[in-house]
This record gives sequence, C-alpha cells and structure tokens, in this order.
Amino acid sequence: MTVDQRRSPLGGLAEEFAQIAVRTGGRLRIAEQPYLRQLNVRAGADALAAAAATLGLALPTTPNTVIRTGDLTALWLGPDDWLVLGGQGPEPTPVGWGVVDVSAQRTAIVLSGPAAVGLLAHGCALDLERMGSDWCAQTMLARANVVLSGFPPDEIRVLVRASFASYLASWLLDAVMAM
Amino acid sequence: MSQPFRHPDRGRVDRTRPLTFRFGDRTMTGFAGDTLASALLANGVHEVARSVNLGRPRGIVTAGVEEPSAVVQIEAPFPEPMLTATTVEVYDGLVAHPLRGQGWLAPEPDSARYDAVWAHCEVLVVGAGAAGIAAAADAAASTGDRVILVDERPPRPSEVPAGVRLLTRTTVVGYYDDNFLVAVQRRTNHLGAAAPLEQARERLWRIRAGRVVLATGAHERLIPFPDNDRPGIMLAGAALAYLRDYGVLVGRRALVYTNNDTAYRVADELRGAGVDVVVADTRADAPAADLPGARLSGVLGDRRVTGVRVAGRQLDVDAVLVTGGFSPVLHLYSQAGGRLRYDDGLGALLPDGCRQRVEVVGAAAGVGLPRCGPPPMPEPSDADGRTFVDLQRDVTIAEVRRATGAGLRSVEHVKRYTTAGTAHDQGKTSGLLTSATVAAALGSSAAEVGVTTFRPPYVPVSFATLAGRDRDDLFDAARLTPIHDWHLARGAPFENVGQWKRAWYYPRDGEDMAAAVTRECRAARTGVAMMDASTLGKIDVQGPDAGEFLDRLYTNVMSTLAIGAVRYGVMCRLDGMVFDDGTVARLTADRFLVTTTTGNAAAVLDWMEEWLQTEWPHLRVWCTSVTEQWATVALVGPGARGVLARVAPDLAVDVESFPFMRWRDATVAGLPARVFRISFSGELAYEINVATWHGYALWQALMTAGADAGITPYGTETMHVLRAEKGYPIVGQDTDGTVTPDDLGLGWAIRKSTKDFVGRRSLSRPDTARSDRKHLVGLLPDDPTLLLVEGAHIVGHTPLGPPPVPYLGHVTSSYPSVALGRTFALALVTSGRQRIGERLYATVNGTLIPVEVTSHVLYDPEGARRDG
Repeated sequence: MTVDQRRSPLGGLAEEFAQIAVRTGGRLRIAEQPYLRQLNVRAGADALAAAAATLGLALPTTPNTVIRTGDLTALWLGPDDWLVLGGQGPEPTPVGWGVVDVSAQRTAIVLSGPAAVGLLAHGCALDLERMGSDWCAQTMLARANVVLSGFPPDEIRVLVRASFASYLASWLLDAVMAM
Repeated sequence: MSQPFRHPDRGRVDRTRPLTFRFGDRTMTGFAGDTLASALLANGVHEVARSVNLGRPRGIVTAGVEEPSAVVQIEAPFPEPMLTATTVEVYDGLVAHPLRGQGWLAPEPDSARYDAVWAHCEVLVVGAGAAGIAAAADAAASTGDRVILVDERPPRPSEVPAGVRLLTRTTVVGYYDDNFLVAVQRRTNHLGAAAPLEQARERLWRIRAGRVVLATGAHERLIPFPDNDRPGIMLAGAALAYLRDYGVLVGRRALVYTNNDTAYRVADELRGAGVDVVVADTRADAPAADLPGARLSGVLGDRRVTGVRVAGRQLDVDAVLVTGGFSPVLHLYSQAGGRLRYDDGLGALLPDGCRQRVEVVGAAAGVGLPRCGPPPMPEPSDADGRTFVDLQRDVTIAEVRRATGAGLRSVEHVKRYTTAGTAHDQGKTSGLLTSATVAAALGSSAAEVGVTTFRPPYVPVSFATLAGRDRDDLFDAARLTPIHDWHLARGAPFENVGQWKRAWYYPRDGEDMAAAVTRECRAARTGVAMMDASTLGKIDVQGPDAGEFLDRLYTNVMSTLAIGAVRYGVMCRLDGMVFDDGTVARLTADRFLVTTTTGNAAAVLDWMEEWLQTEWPHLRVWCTSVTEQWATVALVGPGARGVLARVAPDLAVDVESFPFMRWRDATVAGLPARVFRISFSGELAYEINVATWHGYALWQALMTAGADAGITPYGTETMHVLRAEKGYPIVGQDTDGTVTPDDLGLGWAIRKSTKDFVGRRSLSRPDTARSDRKHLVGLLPDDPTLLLVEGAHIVGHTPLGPPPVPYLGHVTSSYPSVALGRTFALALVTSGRQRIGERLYATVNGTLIPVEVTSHVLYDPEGARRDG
C-alpha cells in the first residue's frame, strides 16, 4: 500500500482558517482545497471539438465563463487556453492540441459566505458583486496572480501558485482582522 | 470662564459630552462634534500658527479643508505633522501645538493599521450637501443601481436617501481616467487613543463609477489688503459655519468686508447671535452697506485684530470677515479632464464639458453663487509686501508683481517663481487671487490668465495610507518553495532572488558563512550534497511545430534532439546579446521541457508568447509555465549515484544506461519522478523533479538515504562557487545585456548552419564579430588569499599614469575556492582570451592588485568529473 506523502502549501493553516468561521459568525468561511486535479488545455478553433471530445467536456468560448460537465469544470483563460478542474487519471493524449497536468502548480483556497466578496474587495480590482454565476477571471489578489472562479450563491475559489500560497494566506488572515 | 465665545444654544455640538484637550501650553475644553479650530475659537484663541518664512502670527481663516493658515502639529496620541485645525476633530487627550510651516514625523513606527478597498458603483456622488443628496436620491431611484455618496465631513443628521451607501469622513483625492476615483476615509482618527487597534485608521477607497456627480460646493475667496493675514481675519462663510455648526462666535464686534451680496446674509445672522457688525462693501452701488465703496486700508493689532482703518475711519473690531466671492470646487472635475471657462458674472471658473461621464451640480456648477466681480486689487504701495495672496507660502502681492516684472507671463511660471499655490492647501482659497494679481499687473483679465493645473491629491494623503496593508511582511509577496520549512528549521539564511526566498547556506553550530560554504563545496566535490532547485523556471513547450519554434529562439538547434535527451541552450535578444540560458529536454516527438534561470522565468515565457502571438501565429505551439508544478532537488557529487540508486532501485543509474544529458522517468523514494542528468557544478549530478506537493517528502527521503554518506544540503552561495569554478556564467551576474554568447566562451553553442534564429543577424555585425570584445576570463590574484571585489575595475598598468586610464573590464564574480585552494574571480576583460597568461591589475580599496588572466574554466577543464 502506498502512503500519501503529499504536503499541501497551506496544510499547516487549517486551524487558523477554521477560526475565521467562528470569528465572523459564519459570514465567512475559508478552507484550502488541496490536490485538486488541474489540466491546462490549449487548442485552436480547429481542434476545439477534438479536445472537448477527448476530455469529455465542453470548453467555454465566452471569455471569463465556466462550463461544468459532471465532475469537471472548464475555466476560460484565453482564446485558446483553458483550465480544467476535477476528475482524475493521467494526462490525456492530445492530437493537434495541447495539454499539461498542472495539478501541483496551484492550490485552491475556497471562500464562502456572504462576506467573501467584501473580503476579496480589499485586494481585487474586479467588480465581483456583478459577476453573475459561473464566472472566472485571471487577476491579481493583493500581490499574487490568481485565477478566481465563482459559484452561486456565495462561493469563490481562488487558485494561487504554490509559491505564493503562503503570502496570500497571510494576506487573507490579515484582511479578516480588519473586517 | 470656559469657552467664553460659545453661543448658549446654537450649533450641533453635543454639550453633554465635554472633551479636554491641550493646545500649546493651555488645557482647554470643547464638546463632542468640535473641530480643533472651533474649540479654540470657542475659547477665544485665534492665533494658532506662525507663517513659514516671515514668522508672522496666523489665525484660522476657514472652517474646512481649504484652510490656508491654521496648520498645527498633533503630538498625542500619535504625532502627525501639518494638519489643519479646521479638520482635526477634538477628542479627549488630544495634544496639539502651533506650527511654523513644517512639522515633525514620529521617530517610532506608526502602530496603526491602514487598508485599502475597491468599490464599484453605477453612480458616485461626491459631496453630501443639498445638491449631492438630491443627486444621490435621484440616482438611487433607478432600480438596481449602486449609488455611493461620499462626504468629507463627519456624519450629519441630514437625511440619507434609501439605497445609498454613504461614506463619511471620506475625501475624494484623485479623479483618473475611466471614472476611477481614489478617496481617503478617516475611520478612527477622531477617536484618539480610544481607537480600536484592529480597525484600520484610514482606508483608501479605489472607486470605479459608471458616472460621477460632483457636488463639491464652492470655496470662498479672500480680498487682498494690507496685513490681511492677522489672526481674527477670516472668511465670512467660515464665521457663519462656526456659528451654525459649532455654536461659536468668532468675535464680538466684526467688520464684514465684501465685494458681493452674501455678506448681508452673514451680517444678519451674526447680528441675530449678538455680534456687532459693520459691513464695508467695495462696490459704490451697495445700498445695504454701512460703508459703500469702501477700501480696507489697514489692520490694527499684531497677534489679533483690534481694529481696522476703512473708508477713512478707524473702527475697533475683534474680527474681520472677508468675502471676495466664491470659486466652485472643480479640482476633481479638472483632474478628470474637464474644461473650465471663466464666468464674468460670477467672477469664477465654471465647468465647461468633460470627456468622462461626469456632471457637476449645485454651487460647484455656480448654482446659487452671488454675482461678483474680480477681487478689488489695491494700487501698488509700500504695503504690498504685507498684502498676502498665499498665506501658507507667505506670498504677497509684491512678490507676484516681482515675478511679472521679471518677465513671467504664465501663472504656471509665476507659481514656480513665487511658490504661490504649492502648499498643503494647493491654493484653494488663493488660486484665483494669484491669477487676478497677475492679470492686474499685466493689464489682462483673470479669464485670459487662467489658473494653474489642478493635480491630485485634493488634500494631503499620508504615505502610510497609500501603503495600506502592503508593509512589513506583506510589503511584497515572498515566494516559497515546498521545502522552505525545512530550510527554515535548519537555520538557513535566505537570499532574495526576485520574489523567491532561496536558502543561502546552512550554518552548523558556530559556523560563519565562509566556513559553511567551504564545507558545503567540499561535500559537493568529494562526497554528496543536495540543493533545493525548485525555483528554476520551467516551461512546457508542445505542439507539432515545437521543435521549429525552439530552433528559432535558441542559438543552437533543438529540433534534432532525441527523445530522452537534454541540451544546453542560449537565447539571444534581437541585438544578439545573451538573454537567458538553460536546458531543453525532449519529452516526446512534439513536446519539450525548457528550463530558465530563476529570475527570468516569467520574462522567457513572455518572450516566447510575444514571438508566437505577434510574429509566428501560424506555428502550432503552446507554452505553459510549469515552474511550480515541479519541485526540483539537485543531487550532486561523486556519491550522488549511490544515493540515487538507494532511493530509485528500479532505475538503472550506471553511466552507460543513464549517460550525461539524458532524462528518465522513474520512481524515486516511492514518488513519481523525472530525473535529469545535468550538472551545474561539473560533478556527477542528478536533478530530480517531483510534483510540488511531493517536494518535501523527496527532500527528506534523500537526506535519510544519504545520511550514511554524509549528504550535505547546500545553498545558493555554494552553487555560485561551484559553477564559477567551472566557468559557467550566470545571466545577469556575469552578463549585463552587452555580452554575446561568444563573449562568454559559448561560441560552440551557436549553430554553424544558415538556419535563422533570433539575434543571428546581429551576431554578424562587425562590432559583435570583432575579436577584441570583452571576454569572460578567470582572474587569479597573485596573493591567493586576497578576494577581489565584484565590480572592481581592471587596468593594464601600475602605476595608473595620467587620466584617462584605459579601462579593460570588471570583475563579475569572485569567491574563495576550497577546490582550487585559493581565491579566484571571473571577469569581463577586453580581448580577454588573447590575454591569458598576462598580468593585469584589479582595483581594490584604492590599491592595484596584480592578477593573472586565465581561462574562465578553472576547475576540471577536461570535464573528467561529470560521470562520477
């Protein structure tokens, strides 16, 4: 039997994150969602259908939107650039398009509760109140590059590069203090 | 008697909450709701400052942010320099001092928190006067629109329309493109020492608005007359505000000096409060005036007005209330790109159209302002040097006339010559007065002369507020590797490489840096050592045209690389100068893994994307950063193979099965891994890559597996020494953007075929092809214990002789070396390769150190050690 030897960037902060829900009376919950499978998918218009078929999902073509297919979520990052979250297994084999497993590249921090948007407004220039449902965006949160995606009613997933995770967690914990 | 000038029942201060404060050496009381200025006036104190250059006593001129005169130093609870007494709210324990121009900053760090927030709205209304509230109510009536109403004053009992988000004590300080406005909210300043520590003291609001309504009101103007800066002289509207808002009488017997009709309303209301008022009007046709067609020709009293000479008479007064008309507050409008036009009827500038979605309402648009001519200018006289235009800068009419006399015609030039309008108040009450003075001197009009440009910020903003929470540990993002905690626990100091924190060396008990690095170097050369190389930039390049693409970017050919093989590569800029170096590994027929230097990872990816998107969009290639997908540990030294064999029993590690410059997929310490046989030290070395989340486990497994062999973790300093001994350059340290691959001794990495690559044409220019360029060479000081300074200049002779001294180059890297048993350096030296064996001189602390020029490869030039 193999032992799970993984160590997530924010595993040591689980207790601090849990305290936030207590502190805010449940208005804000923060938790790391580690080891989320992430595939970076690149495909031109000619290979879009082939990529979607191989991956078994639909790839959004509207900028900054998300399409969920079963347990897979496809985030639009650019005209030929997607991030597919969820699922499992090895990298699929692309033909005429590209794919890279980047599961360990970023960790996910999930913020939820009615105060989540207000907290992010301290470091994010986007109008998160008016994003609607199933949106995503590549932007800056404080001084870290992040991929944000929103899921109704009040959940926002922050995908942050592993090396920036510690900084961003410190920033979030500090911002919560000011709430 | 306490607060002798407090009216018994007027004003909105809370008389049930008396507050004690100190100003200078006097302890006084005020009420909740007072500003420092209103509380001082209630106590009969007018003199609150001295002027910056002349040291003249100065008083309180206004009741708001436009205050040009009453600048004070706050001492407690936390020192703050140069605040206007008219905007500081009084609290228990406030200690303030009069200032002469400049204040002092606290020597200790500010313990208060500051923060910033972004806000978005469909409508932003600036100013919660009657016009602003009406505009906000109107906007809020539209379904779903988010309306923010910002007001610089404390909360007032006025009605806030439903659905409007009101920000009080908040001043919009800047108006930028795309309706982006910045405001400062003072959240706990007014609480003094009682302010909760966890709450941000001030908050910076960055507001993006669909449209903006400016209801910013108007600032009253002064009229120039001799000694118009004496304490007790203030704007008429300010006297009214002190009565209405704070229940404070600014005097008992007042002269109102005016050129417009607002004076009469002020006079009536002050008379109603028990003040004796005489109105002197500069206009001859002023039937309601006590003294029509009057000129105020002199002021009596030094530290406080005691009388005036007006219309040929002398009057005993303790206050002079001046109104020279009103200037709509159009600072933000002007910052937004709004045009202004001079209105002769109002004697003021009015909004005249803007490219942004902004409208101006109320007094800011001139609504309700009195008809008013330009300020009456005194005839030139001996008193010009005491007739002030800008109180804070001590600028008088005499100085403005001196400027125009010197030939200056533009108000912008006059501003710079006299400094008028450059103080904390940016000439809010004096700007148009300066223009009128210039106009009078030039025989022109204020309309023609105009006013100086309005620049943000509208009011002074502290650096602490701008910094917000981006200070101390959050000043910048610190990027950490997955093995960071181990380095930290082991006591490693860290070196900043870009935003990365890299372990520098690992001192054992009592070791200094030199001892630790010597030990680490020895381990890598004679035993086994390991380093966290996770920060190395990594880019996945895939697609049918990936090989072709890399051929175009690297100086050497990559498309011929076999699957499983690795090649060193150099990239040039268009000018042929080295941009980055690294390795390229072929993973499959149409997939490569490229490594970059730590500091250049993002720049290389940008470079690739730029070429793909702008020049070669037809190439089917996709580049993806995988820097943080992989944690990398370099396992180095003659003992490396044994340690790897122990943790990767299924991997054939012998030199025939796994030769130099190859990679293999393998299971290492039970973890899926990709192992590269590449070396940045010249020793047998493996770079083991695992998923980032496995990096810590890999590190620990290697430490355990190598324990018997004395495996030694090493940091970036040892890495630098090892690579320098082998003459491997570091881009950015041994290069500076003027160095070609050949200059570095990398001519072998430039392809001989005619196939093009970025920078190729530049490399054939006569200047880049000449043989006497600066070359990377080694330097050995004659004294083997002497360490050259990086950056030291190199010359060919001693003594230097008369200048100019021919300069031959500089030291780029310099280290003591345990492997060489001496110090050594790398240097860029003119015709360096032709000088090998020659004696040159390096400058160290002003003396010339003899050095011998050698090959840049000082250790194991045959490359005998790379296979262990």
